[in-house]
Amino acid sequence: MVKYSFNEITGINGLQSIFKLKIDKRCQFDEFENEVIAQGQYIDEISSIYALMEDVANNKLLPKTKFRDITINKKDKNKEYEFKTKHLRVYAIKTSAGKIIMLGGYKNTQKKDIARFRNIKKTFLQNQ
Amino acid sequence: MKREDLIKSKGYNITKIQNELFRQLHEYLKTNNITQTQFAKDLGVTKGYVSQILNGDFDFKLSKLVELSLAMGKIPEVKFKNIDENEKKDSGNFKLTYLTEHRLKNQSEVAESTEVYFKNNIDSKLFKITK
Repeated sequence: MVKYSFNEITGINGLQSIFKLKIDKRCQFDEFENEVIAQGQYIDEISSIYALMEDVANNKLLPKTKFRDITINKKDKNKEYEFKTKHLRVYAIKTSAGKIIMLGGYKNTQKKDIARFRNIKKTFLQNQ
Repeated sequence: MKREDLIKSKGYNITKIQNELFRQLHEYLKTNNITQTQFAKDLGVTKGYVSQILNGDFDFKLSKLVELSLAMGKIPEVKFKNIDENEKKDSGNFKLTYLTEHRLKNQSEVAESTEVYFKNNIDSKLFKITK
């Protein structure tokens, strides 16, 4: 059976906590971040993503070009969010515990990643 | 990413400033009921320039930052502080705030001021631009 857990992102200072999802002790966002840092091409953008998370955690307004609600069903309580930089995308959901980062990806794999993100969201919520 | 790495990174610091400029301009346009087109005309820039700021992508010259601040009725102040000092406080390696200063000389005169704090690991410098 798949085990879901989440850890607080400690790098940011915010009024709200933001968490990152772990599936069977593996955190896709951490792996994505490590991949981006190892490749070296978009290191500045991964730190920009953290700046966006920090502003969101402090309830600050952001441009829709950087942070947007991508929830299809507007009545859905577990809203879906996308953090954006020029080449990177990070997907999160809102839960009663706070916002949870589910997945990180690239702009050119956005469509596939959103489908995967929604699938993870669905199974995660079913297991809560 | 660890906090100590984050606050030393270029992307984090640029994005924080760009986001703050977006919020300041967004609030200014909303409060004064001014369109982007009108603001661009008043500032003598293109609509694309204003749109870029409102997309959180400001990356222009320092002179443009000053012109933009003044056009919003605010005074920019830039402070440089050591990263080490900041790490102890753990409050981010820069702070960009817009403050309201009430001048006692003339009770009817209210000046807006902007404070931009940058911290680095070399030394502490302070640049202040006033009216």
